[in-house]
Amino acid sequence: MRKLILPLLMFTQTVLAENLAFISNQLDNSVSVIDVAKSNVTATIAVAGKPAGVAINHVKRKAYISTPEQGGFAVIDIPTLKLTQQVKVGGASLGICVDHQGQRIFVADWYENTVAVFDSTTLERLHTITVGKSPSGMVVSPDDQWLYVANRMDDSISQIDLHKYSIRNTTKVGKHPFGIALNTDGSKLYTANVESDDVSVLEAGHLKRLNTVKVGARPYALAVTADGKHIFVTNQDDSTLSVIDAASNQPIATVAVGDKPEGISYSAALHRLLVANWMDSTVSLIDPVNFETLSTIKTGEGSRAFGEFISH
Amino acid sequence: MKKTALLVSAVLLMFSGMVNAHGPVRAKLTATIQIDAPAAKVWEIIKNYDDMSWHPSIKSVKGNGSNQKGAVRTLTLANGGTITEELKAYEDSKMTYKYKITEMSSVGTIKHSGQDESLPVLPVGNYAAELQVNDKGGKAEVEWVATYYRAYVNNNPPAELNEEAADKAVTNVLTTGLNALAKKVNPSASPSVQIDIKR
Repeated sequence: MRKLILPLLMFTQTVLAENLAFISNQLDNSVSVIDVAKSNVTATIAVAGKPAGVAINHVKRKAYISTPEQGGFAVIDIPTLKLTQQVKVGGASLGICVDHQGQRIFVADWYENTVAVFDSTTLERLHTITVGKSPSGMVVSPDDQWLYVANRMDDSISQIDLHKYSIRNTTKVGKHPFGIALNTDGSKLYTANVESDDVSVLEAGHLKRLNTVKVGARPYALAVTADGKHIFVTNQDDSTLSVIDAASNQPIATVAVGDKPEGISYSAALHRLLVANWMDSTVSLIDPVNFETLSTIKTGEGSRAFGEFISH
Repeated sequence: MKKTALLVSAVLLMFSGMVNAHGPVRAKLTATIQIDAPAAKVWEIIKNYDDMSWHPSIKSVKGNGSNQKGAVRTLTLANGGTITEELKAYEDSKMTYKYKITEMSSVGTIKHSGQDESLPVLPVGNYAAELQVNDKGGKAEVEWVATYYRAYVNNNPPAELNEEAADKAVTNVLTTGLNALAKKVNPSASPSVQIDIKR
């Protein structure tokens, strides 16, 4: 047995080195880059404009950081860890995501109630889609056909057709949905509802409401494990994660993290969760099997990391 | 005192220029004071969640005598307003506790953008704070960190409910409390509170 385990471990180590987490530090105007396998900060990159949202283009090896105060986003080249461009969008860019083929970047504007679509090669605007009030969290379906947007002040989710750039469907969820996440096959959509302290579970294809799960105080964002079995939700005012069992739609555990936990992202390669703790200016590294914190990493002040922030 | 006042107004001035530049964001206000006394002695005065007799702006506190997470206290202010707060964490060994505001009374309403807007007794939204005493080489350092949003959630807030109003009100509550605490420990002290606001 021992002989078998050793080569596997070595292999895992080389894969692990590729995983970098990009943590936006809102109060520091910087991004901390964490080597997830080593659980330490390998670089800190200056990014002006109160950086908040994060998206990773795995194909083109870029990290996009939304900068609400400058109404745009910054582009970081992952291999060199250099800030290469700053793109102007509009009023107050917050939510940001990218399609799976790495071709289009989507930026939600909190005040203009729009989602801007950018070409990831030219960084030029392709479309502007009008959505509900204060769009925040976004996620793209695995086949790049749908973009889901949380309309925070409308208490709703919109499903946008990415061929026609038009809204196909809008559904009411809990109060003030902020972060949203899909499971790996894109069949279920989860929304963290800040004001009603719960998570809405939707059938993603037609936005049919399946369930509402009670979580902690002021849930902010969520992440789903690769097998789709567990959903982890950051509870800002409880300094915890709620763990939801997908099969039963029941909360089955809570995990203590830092204060004001906000962004959360899952690394499938490492099978680890990272949580940005705004108040503590740290990131918690979580074991999603045993529901425990493995280490706490010091980052910059006001760590937010809203979006999927781990490269692979 | 003079130094504190100057520092506070400088910080507030810096912020007023940025107001409305973007949506409501959470502020982090840190108030710090050094007190020439053992940390444990200072903690002894403030450690009971339902005792805020050390704070001159708070007339009375109604609690249930508990320092357990989940305990609720209702503060009655000198002006008659009330604030209800829930204890979120308590660690005697680290001389710290955390709480959040769950309810506030209103001091009136104003008309803004054609709507009636209620004015909460503390013009903030989603307020949470941590009070901690640190031992700094035999002397106490008290750190009171508050996080909050402005009270008005939509764009273009009225002056009564904007960032500046929130910062001013929180600065006042924390500064008054810490100064009084220092005076209670040592009546001849000339306390100086440092304020740092980030958002």
